[in-house]
Amino acid sequence: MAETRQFLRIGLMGVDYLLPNSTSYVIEKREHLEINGEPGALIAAWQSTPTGRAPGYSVDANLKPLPRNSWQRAVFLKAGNQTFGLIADELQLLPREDVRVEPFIPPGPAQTPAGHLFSGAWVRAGQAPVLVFEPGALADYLMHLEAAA
Amino acid sequence: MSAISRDPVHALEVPTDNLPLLLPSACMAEVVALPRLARVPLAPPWLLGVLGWRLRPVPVISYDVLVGGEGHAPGPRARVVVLYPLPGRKPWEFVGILSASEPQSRIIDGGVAPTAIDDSFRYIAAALKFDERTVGIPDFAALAKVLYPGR
Repeated sequence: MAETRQFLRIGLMGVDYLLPNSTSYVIEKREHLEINGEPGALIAAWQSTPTGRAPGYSVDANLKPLPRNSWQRAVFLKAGNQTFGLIADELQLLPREDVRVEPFIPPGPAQTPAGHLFSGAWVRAGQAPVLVFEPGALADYLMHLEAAA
Repeated sequence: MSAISRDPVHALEVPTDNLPLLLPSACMAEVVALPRLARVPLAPPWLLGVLGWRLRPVPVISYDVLVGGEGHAPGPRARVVVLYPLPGRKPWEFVGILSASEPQSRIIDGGVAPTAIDDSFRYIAAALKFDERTVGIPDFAALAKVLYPGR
């Protein structure tokens, strides 16, 4: 059965993903973040939080780590007591009525210890489907990027 | 080796780079041209991407890659055979199999004989000899286990 929740469109190097509003997230402009000046760094910037700072990761369209500088915004989402950010080329809050998401978990093993990275897909006629992140798994994936960094 | 003597069964022969697959028509929802797929990050290599089919997301797999073969870039004649959900799966979990070209209609009748195939062709329930060609009938239960592990 299709969902009609509100979704945030996240553009990563020409590929779109959706993040449901079932999770708490904050969109930050680049100028409001602490930029990591270290060349080739996986963490592109930090968001200041009441308890410290949260890392914002730079990834490519396939979610593989990719240091880059030409970005303007990031989305930070909460996973338990921690906050993780994703550097994005585009962020757009989509009108609820425009998006119809169908349940979809890709075949194959779960990509993270917290489960599958995707839980749905938005299919429009004549266009490639847009995958919908499972917020907890996305945060888990980003957390493991940190461990690997 | 005895010939098959049941009622004729309509099927499609699906060309692959290795063993052609024989899929009973009753298992298939539609054959479509290969459109632009959505890639799935961190997916196994046999998952080629996601197809938008009748406003549903349908994963497209490569049998060749699934059985350990090399995956070739699909050509302009490539098709996707959209299968009804595999055994035990949810009603919306259609799955697509890449076909190297347009599948061909076949009838399995008394003139078709079972044959043996190499063990390397995994997820095959039975093999048949059509003229001089060997084709494999997928083991859908085994496919469901490998495609949806632990689910």
